[in-house]
Amino acid sequence: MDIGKILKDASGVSAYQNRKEAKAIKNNAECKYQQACDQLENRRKDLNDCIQRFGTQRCEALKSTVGVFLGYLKEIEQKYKSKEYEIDLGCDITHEYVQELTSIEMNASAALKTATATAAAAAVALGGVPALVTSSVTALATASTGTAISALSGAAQMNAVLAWLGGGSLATGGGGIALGTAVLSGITYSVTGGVALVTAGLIASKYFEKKLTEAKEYEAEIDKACAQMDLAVTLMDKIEQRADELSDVTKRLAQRCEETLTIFEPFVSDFEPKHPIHIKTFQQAALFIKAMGELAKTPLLDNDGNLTESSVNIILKTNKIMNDNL
Amino acid sequence: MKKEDMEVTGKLNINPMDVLNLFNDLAKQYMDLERTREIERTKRAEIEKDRQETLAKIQAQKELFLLYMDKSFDERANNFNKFFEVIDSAMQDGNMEKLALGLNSVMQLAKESPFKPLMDLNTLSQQLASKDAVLDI
Repeated sequence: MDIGKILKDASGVSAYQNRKEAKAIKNNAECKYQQACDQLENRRKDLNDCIQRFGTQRCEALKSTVGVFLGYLKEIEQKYKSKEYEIDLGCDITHEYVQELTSIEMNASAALKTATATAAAAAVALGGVPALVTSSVTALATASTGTAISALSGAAQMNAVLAWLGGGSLATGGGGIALGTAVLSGITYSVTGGVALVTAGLIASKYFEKKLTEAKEYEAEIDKACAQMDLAVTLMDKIEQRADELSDVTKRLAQRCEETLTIFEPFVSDFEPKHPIHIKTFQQAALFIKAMGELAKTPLLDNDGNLTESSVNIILKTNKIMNDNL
Repeated sequence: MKKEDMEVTGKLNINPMDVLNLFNDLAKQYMDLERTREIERTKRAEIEKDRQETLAKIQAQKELFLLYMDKSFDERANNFNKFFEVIDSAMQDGNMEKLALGLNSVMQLAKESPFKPLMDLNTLSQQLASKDAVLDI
């Protein structure tokens, strides 16, 4: 029999130590959780900024390519009073397609001009990721602890136990500290093995033993939630990478398109549908414009959000505002 | 009971039976405490085991996700570069068919979301865990 251990239990020292440990676990877990939430929120903001920048870039690229091309088309149309531009080698610029291009360009211009430019730019960028990780923080954070950890933070409980400890024993039915001490002394003297047990200490030990378990359970739930949030941050890193990818493709395509339009521009006022160089330049420009239009409609993520909820517990919804308008 | 103890108990006016009952009661309570302690230790061990297993699972999911995505993005970047080389070559040659082909390839790849082919991570993880699974990443 470990007398020291028994004394620790009976005197309430074990209880006090368990309570202290449980409280420390709780505080550390809450700090860790708050840090994870802050990291997730900051990442979410950064991703939103990235998407808005891409959306703005997309609109500006459309303006400098499709917008310019439509201007040229209008000028040529006015000259020839014709609504159909069918040119060989797979480049059909029908009236309907021109209407579609006009809509695309108008949407892009509107997005750039609106008062809430950032939100519109984001919507344009997406066809895609909108509010992003909406209530995921809350969702992930709803760790089902089911634990009344608040009970640990009350100092009164321990004080009451300590007061009870010094207030008397079962033998005497309670009393002042002096009387309790006297009884304790008396019992100590007469019982072999040096065992001085006070029921209050044992009860406290049992109570805080359970509280320590609850704290461990709370800590475990927090750790799991933090890991899920870390996974969400990783996901957002890859969404940003996708935005960067589309941004790069838009930039490279727009650059080549603008070069072609620069070459085509001198021919606009004197455009001859049968002139081989005019036709070829027009075809080249039209091909690039068609690609720009298609690229503008490409959502950041696919229609279904593409990621399983079960994997990261995040719901990604795509608002295809841009696409719906077309 | 020893003579000196009897003298002390006599002086303190304590009923020996009360003292005996007290110790019996305390012994029972102490045994109860030990039982509780053992139960709680077992619970805590189970909690820790579950915690470690869950964290390991999430970490595995993260690593798998990163492995797939990094490879996917690298391949896509290479393909985009190749397609733009075709486009540049077509512009130089004045070859409209080649240009259309290059542009179409860029569009198709851009429209294809890099996340789409990603399977349910849980399913994929299970497949990896399966001894019969052969997975080429």
